[in-house]
Amino acid sequence: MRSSFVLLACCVVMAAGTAFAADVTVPEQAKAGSKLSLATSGSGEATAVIVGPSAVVKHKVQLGQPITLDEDEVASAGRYEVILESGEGNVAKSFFVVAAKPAHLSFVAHPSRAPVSQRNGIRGSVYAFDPDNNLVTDPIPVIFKLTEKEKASIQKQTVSKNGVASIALDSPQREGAVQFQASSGDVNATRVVRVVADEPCALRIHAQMQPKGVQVETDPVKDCSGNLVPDGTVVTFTENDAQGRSTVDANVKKGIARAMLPAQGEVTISAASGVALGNEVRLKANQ
Amino acid sequence: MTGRMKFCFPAMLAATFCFALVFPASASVPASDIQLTVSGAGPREVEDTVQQSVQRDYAQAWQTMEAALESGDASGLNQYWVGVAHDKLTQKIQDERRTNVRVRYQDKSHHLQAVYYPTDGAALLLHDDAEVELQVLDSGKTIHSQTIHEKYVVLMTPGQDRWFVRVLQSVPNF
Repeated sequence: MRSSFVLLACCVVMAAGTAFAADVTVPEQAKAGSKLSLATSGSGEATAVIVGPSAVVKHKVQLGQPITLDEDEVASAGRYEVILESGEGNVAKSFFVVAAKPAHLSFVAHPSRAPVSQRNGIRGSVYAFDPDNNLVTDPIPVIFKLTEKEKASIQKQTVSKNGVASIALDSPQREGAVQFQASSGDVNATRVVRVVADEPCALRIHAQMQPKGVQVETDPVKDCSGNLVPDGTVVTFTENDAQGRSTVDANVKKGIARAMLPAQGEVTISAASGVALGNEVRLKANQ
Repeated sequence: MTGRMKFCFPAMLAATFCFALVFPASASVPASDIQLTVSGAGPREVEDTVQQSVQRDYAQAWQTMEAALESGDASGLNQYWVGVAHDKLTQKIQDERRTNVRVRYQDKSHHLQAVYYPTDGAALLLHDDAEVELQVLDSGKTIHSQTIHEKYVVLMTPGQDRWFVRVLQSVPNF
């Protein structure tokens, strides 16, 4: 009888001890930048130390009352450690804060100048961040849109993976500036990509005798999509005459490359630029 | 040995001992022990030189972070941290000073997996499966100590002579 009473008393004391031991309840996961309330149990006073990725905070706590964490105290995504210091010892719990909805997109478009008609010639990467600059690692839909002036836009949707969404789009056939836009929900970012003519597709030259030699020039030099090649594209003119062989490099200006070649007697002139070869011109120069 | 030196030597020895107790030698993971897997990253292939730089600079970044949190001085972070990651650590160090709570991290191992390397090579996104020892001290007294297995999403971007950590974010799972 006496031993049963002692056992019962021990159980009551242990149960009371457990009921009033200092403890804190944490969520498994919380959203960044949202106020958070952590329930505590026990009696008396304690100090809560919270260590997060960008914050170290300390709160005086009345055990049994919740610990309220303000938005800026849980602004960063990552692991949070909550350590409750009380007279009964320390209790530590941890939980994760995950990024909130995207608030801005870090959009990298590459290249800034893309040749026309290139398969997968324009690429974009999007990293989404929430209002507190946390990388949004949960999958989110991202729409990429390429818009040419006065033409219908090309649009593709993808889903981000590991915090990044990427796309590769064919570059348009016409040169000019195109708007490259990425959007997710109501946030978007736009970059401008300049589409430039590709390498020359073909060359045609014509020549004219001048007192000091032969004036040779190309017809307008175009790529295979019919765009004038950019200024500065090099055209190499080659001349063969009785004196031997000579070459002159000339830059394209406003679509045309010109050069003056010294010539004597029978002259053969040809031109090349990149993989494009021009026609041959034969002349009889002044002796 | 002069009388003054005889006095100084034991004092210096004691001071060194105390210093070693207060500031234990850094035992961060050296770059050579950081495992980096690049298979599966794309669309661009991660070049050998980039692999070496990332291993070296990520190890250095952890060392500078641990040192900055230990000393309460954020100035060293500039060497390997930029952008969001830099700002968040700086804020944490300011909070440490304000609350008199010190957070000690000691990284034990890192298993890095490159997951995205764009064609322009302007960034490298990685996953790090790390083992880290965490110690929290309140007014110099250890109040919590724990070894944690952490999963980090890491975004690194290249600078002139090194790779910087731009995002370091622990996540519940990859």
